[in-house]
Amino acid sequence: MSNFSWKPRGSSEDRQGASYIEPSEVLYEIDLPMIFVTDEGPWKSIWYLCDKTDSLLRYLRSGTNTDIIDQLKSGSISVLQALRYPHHEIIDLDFSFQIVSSWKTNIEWIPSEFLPKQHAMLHADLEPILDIKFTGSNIKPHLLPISAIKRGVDGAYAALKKLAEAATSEEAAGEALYSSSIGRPKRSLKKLFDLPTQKLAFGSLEIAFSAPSDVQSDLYPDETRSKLEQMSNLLTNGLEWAYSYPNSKTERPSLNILEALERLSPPLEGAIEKVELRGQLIPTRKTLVLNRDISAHVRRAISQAKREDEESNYIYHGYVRELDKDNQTFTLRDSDGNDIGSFTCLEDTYEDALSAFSTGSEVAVIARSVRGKQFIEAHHIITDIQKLIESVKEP
Amino acid sequence: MLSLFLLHFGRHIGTMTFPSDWVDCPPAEAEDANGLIFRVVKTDPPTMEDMKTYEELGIKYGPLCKRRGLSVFKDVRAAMNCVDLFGQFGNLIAAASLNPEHGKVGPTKTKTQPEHHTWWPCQGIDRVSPFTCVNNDV
Repeated sequence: MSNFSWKPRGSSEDRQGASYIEPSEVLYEIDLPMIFVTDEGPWKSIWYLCDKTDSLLRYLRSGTNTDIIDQLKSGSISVLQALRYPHHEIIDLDFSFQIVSSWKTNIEWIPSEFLPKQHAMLHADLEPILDIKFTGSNIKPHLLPISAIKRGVDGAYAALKKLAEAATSEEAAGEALYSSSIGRPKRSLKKLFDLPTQKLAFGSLEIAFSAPSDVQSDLYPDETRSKLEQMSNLLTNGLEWAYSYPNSKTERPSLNILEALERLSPPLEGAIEKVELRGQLIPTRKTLVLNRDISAHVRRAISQAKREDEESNYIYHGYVRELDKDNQTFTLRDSDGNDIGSFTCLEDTYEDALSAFSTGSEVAVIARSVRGKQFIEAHHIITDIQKLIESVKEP
Repeated sequence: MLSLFLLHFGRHIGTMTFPSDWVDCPPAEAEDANGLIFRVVKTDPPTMEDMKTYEELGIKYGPLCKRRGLSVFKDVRAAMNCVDLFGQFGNLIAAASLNPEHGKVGPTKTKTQPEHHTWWPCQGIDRVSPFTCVNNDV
């Protein structure tokens, strides 16, 4: 009989006559229950198999409740987080699931190699598509500036949208992202960036996005998975380029990818100083850290790319007569009803576009047209155009 | 590397049989093995120690038929997740391209592990040689 390579730290318990352990629910099983739940009257425990010999199974047992188990099953918390709730015991069972010995212990005393990795979820599909954690000296529980939350949420949304556009346009090999001139995009586009929020934690400002609902329910998973893989490849190439800048041997990413990186990177000033990325879009399965040096590299590259792309900024005047709420695009027309152009809303412009559509008032749209893109990118919408004109006329 | 490996190992092996004392095992819902599966192993190349069933290891917990099979995954991400959860029991992922002569494969009925399957290798089959570690490819 071989022995365990480690002795549990803590007080040994007398479990003479202890009974057979009967899992009430098995959560993870590889030939035998590796993670399971037991009910002891009003109490519940979660068990994690941390070691075994050829005759004994060593489990970590932790107190739990229905809410924690539901969070574990839905992917709101990792397995290690579920195990961190008090109280802890190490329990050795024989292969008939009879208790042989036990120790009251603390999870911090257990060697880390016998515990799950920090972010490991109960199963693979619960791993977030992208988990973004914003850190900085001023990002602390109860001291989180609302500007940091806004920057974090806006940045994550904009970055995913840019990645989705880039992935879809590359896969379509030049086809338009949108299926009609009035701006209705292909159905696959929006679900790639308007992802379900899996976790929103304010203590450290962390946002995690889960897979689109069709992947979760197995509807058309291959098509969506293929696009998610494309997004992952584009992001990976972009990150490789950013990490090795200015000595990068890889080609500079497209403007869309650079802009996605810029939105993911920490701003050059403010509360967010570093951004940690992990999830299915990061294939190295490691946590990547973006700092302000990378932000500066990316911004320089964006400036250069914009000059090279021969793009132009224009101000357009007109009325928002058609608005696609799902895809956040709109059509601007002149007072005679002639089309001026089709625009896609960037950053905070959607609310202004919706307001202009509702009120029917004339607006000025500061926008950028980029070669190869069907939609003009609206960066600012000035809704009170008369006031703007009058203010310009005043000395 | 995966494609070369598929060409090499995806060959006809022999007639599929199971031990005569196996009653209702593999279960009726198990299908002929066919396609790529992944198993978490300890060594590269994998050895027979990586391919022992729980029945062979003397573990008496759970239904006997289940203990006669080997846990495998049909999705490499599920195997990677297993390594993240239980790296102490093996942190390498081996892939095999099975065909019906290798045995039967059926889904393991767990709500939280849709990609988890059980492979019942047929009697006398070489369980080790179909597998190649693919960690560097995933």
